[in-house]
Amino acid sequence: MGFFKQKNNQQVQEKVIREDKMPPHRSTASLEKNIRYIQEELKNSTDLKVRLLPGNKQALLYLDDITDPDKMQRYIFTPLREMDGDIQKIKDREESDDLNKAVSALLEGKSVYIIEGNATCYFFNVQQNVTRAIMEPMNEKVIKGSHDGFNEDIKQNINLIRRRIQHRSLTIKKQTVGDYTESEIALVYVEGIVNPGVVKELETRVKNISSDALLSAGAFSEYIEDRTYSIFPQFLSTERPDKTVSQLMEGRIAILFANNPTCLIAPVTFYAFYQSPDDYNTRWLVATYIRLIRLFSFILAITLPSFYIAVVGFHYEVIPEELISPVLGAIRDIAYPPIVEAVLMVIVIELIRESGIRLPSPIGSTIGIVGGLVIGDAIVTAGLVSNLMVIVIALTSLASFVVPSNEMSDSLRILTFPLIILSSVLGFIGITFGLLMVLIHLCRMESLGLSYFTPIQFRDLKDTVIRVPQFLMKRRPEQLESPRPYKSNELSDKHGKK
Amino acid sequence: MAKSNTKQKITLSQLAYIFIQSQIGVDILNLSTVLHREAGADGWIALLIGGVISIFFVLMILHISKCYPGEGLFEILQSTFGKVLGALVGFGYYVYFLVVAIYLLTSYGELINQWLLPETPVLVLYALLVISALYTISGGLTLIAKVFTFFAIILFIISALFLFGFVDAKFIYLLPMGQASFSEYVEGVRVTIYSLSSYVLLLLFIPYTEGSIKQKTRTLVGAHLLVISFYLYTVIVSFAHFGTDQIDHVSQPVLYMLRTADSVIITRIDIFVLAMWTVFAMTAFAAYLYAAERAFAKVPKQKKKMLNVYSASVIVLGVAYWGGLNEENIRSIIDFQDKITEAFTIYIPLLLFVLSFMRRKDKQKGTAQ
Repeated sequence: MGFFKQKNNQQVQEKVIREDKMPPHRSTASLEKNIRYIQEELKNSTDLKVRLLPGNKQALLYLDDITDPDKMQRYIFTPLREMDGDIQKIKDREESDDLNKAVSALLEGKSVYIIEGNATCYFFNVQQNVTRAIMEPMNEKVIKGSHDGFNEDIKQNINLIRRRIQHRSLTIKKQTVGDYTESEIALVYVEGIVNPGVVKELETRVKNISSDALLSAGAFSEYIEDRTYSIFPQFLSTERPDKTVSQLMEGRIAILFANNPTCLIAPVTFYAFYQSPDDYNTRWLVATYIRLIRLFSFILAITLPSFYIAVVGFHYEVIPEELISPVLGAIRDIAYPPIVEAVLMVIVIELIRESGIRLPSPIGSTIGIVGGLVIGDAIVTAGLVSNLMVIVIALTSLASFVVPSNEMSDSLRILTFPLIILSSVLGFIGITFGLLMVLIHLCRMESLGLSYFTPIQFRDLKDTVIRVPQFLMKRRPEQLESPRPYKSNELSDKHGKK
Repeated sequence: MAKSNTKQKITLSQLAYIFIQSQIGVDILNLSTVLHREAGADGWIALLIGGVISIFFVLMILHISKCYPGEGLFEILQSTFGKVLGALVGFGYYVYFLVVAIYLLTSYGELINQWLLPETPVLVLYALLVISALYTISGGLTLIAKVFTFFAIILFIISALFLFGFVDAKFIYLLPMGQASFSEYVEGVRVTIYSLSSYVLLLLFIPYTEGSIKQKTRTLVGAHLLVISFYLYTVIVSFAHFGTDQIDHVSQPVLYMLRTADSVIITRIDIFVLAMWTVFAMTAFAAYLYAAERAFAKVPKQKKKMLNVYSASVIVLGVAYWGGLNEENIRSIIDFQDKITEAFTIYIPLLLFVLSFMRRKDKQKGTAQ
C-alpha cells in the first residue's frame, strides 16, 4: 500500500452517492418535466421505456430488460381496466413524491406510474426473476446426503436455510456493499448459539468496506479477513446448504451473497477445511478412518517432496539397505539436482491441472492422458526426471486434492515450494524449521478474533482429527465461546459425562 | 493489533506444557554421560534425588508467587529489594537468561554440526533458531502457550522411539547400587538441579495463569514429575544400553543408542529424533528469550519492547557466534554460566523465599492494625 506514496499531487475524484442515500428530488405536477428528469438521470439509456397511456396524461416508465411484461399486464393493466383507470384504487403499490426514489425503483426492476397534475409517483413491483435451477454443486459432491445447492438467487438460498432451521432465532441481517453495485449480502446466524461479540465484530468490518463494487465472495473475504498476507484461507466457502446449516448450528456465521452461489462461513478453524458432510452421514468408525486418511494426506502433501529431496541429498543413511541401490540407480543418470527435478515436475502437474480446468470435459480427459501418461513416461525416458521423483510428485498432488476444500488444497500446493527449498539447503533440519514456521504461523492466526488453529487437546479431538459418535459430541467447539456450549437441553446425559 | 501482554491469560494445561518444554533443552541428550562421569553407575539415583529436591524448588517458587499475587519475576525483585537493588538483580537475571539462551544456541549448533550438517555454517542454524523463536515471542504469551502446547506431542513420539533402546538393554548395568561416595552424589545432584533449573522461569508465567494456587501447584508438580520421569527414562535407557565401560566415551548416548537400533521401515532413527529435537531446542530457547524480554515489560510501547528483544537476540547471536569460533571461547561461556547459575537458580530464589515470609508478617501486621 505504501510503496508509491504520493503526497502532493494526489488525484481527486468525485464521490459517488449510493442509490439509497440520494438526496430527495421533489417531483413536480408536470408529467413532461418528471419524465425528462428521470431520462436525464438514467443518461437516456435505451432500455428505459416510457409508455404513454391513451390521452397522454399518464405514463408508465420501466427498464425493459429487467421487468416482466406478463407481470405488468397482470398487476397494472388488468386491474387498471377493472378500476376504470383509477390508479389509486389498485392495491400492491408504493408511492412517493421523490423522483430520485423513482429512479432507484426503476433500477430495482419496478415500474413507475406518473400522472399529469399529480406530484405522486406510484411504483409497482414487476421485476423479472432470472434463476438457475437448484443443482448439486460441482465441486462439493457427496455420496450420501442432500443433493441441493445454492444458486445465484439470494432469496432462494435463504429459503433453503430457513427450511432447514425452523426456529425464530434464525436471524438474517441484510446489508448492501459497493457504492455502484449495491450488492446485497446477508449475514445469517442463530441467535443464542452464536457468540454476540463475533457478530458485532463482523458487522463493523462489513460496515467499514468502502468500494465501488463487490464482485465476488473471495474479494469480500479479503476486505474483512484477519490476515490478508497469510496463505491459508480464513473463510470456509461452500455451496451446500446442509454444510452451512451444520456450521450455523455450531455457532458460526454464514455470509450469503446476491448473485453468487458461494456462502462464506466464519469464524472457522483450520480443521473445518478437512471436514465434509459425508463424515456425519457414515458410520463413525468409517468417518474417523477417512479423517485420518485426510490428515495423512495433509502431511504427505506438504512434506513428501521435501522429504525425498532431503533423503536423496543429505541423509542416504535413512533408506533401508535393500532399497539403496534401486534408489541410487534411479537418480544416478539424471543430469539435474533433485530440487530442479522436483520443481520441474510440480510445474508440469500444475500445467496439466490448469489447462484442464476450463476445457469441456471430453477434451479435459484427453489433456489428462496426454499430460499424465505421455509426458510422464517421456520425461523419464528422456532422463530429465527420475522415476522416483515422478512417483513422489504424483503422490503429492494426489494428496493435495484429498482436501475437501478447494482453497486449502491450493494453499497446500504452494506451501511445498518453500519446504522444497529449505530441505535442499538444510536437509531434515530445514524441513523441521519450515514446518515449525508454518505451525507457529497457524497458531498466530485468528478468524474474526477467535483462534484459528487450536492445539489438539483431547476434548477437541472428537470432531477434528477423528469423529466420535454423535452422543459423545455434546459440546460445541470450544473456540467459538458460544453462549450455549452444549448441544442439547439434557446436560445430565448418561453417555456424555466425562 | 498487538494486545498488551499483561492482559493475556493462559490456562493451567498451557502452563504445564510451557514448563515441560522449557525444561527439556539440548542438555538432556548428554545428561547420562555427565551423570555417569560424576556419580558412576549410581548416576540415575543422583538424578532421582536431584529431582525430588527440585520439586521443593518448584514449591518454593509457587510460594513466592503466592506472596506476590499478580507480580512477575522482575516486579517481585523490585518490591523485595527496593528500586535500585531490585533493578540491579533484575539486570542480573536478564544477563542470566541471555547466557542460558546463548548456551542453548551454541549447544544446539554444535549438536547439529556434529551429527547432521557438518559443513553448514553454524550461524545459519543459529539464525533459523532465533528467527523461529522471535516469531513465537512476538505473538505474546498466548501464542507461546499455544505453540508450546502443540509441540508437546513430540515428547511422546520421542519417548516412544526411545523404546528401541531397550532392545539391547541389560539392566544388570545399573548394578551395583550405592557405590558412589557422598561427594559424588552431591555433584550428580548439582548437575541434575542445574539441568532442571528452568523453574525460575515459572515466576514469569504463574501470575498470568488462570486458576487457584492449589490448582497451579497440582499442575506444576505433575508437570515436573513428568519431566523428571522423562529424564530418568532416558538416563536409565542409556545406562542399560551402554553399560559402565562405554557410556563415558559417548557424547550423546541417547542418539547413539538409536543409531544402532534397527527398525523395519527406516534405518537411522537418530536422524529423525534429532530433527524433532530442533523443536525442543527452539521452545527452550524461546522461553529464555521471552524471559529476557519480560525484563522490559514496563516499557509501555510494544514497538520499543520488540526492539529490545531484537537487540537481545542480536547480542545472543553475536556471542554464540564468538563462542562457536573455538573451544576456548565456548569453555569460557560455559564456565561463566556455571558460575552464575548457582546464584540465580538457587540462592536468589532461596532468599526470595525467606523474604516472602517476612513480607507476609508485614502484611498481617498491616491488616491487624
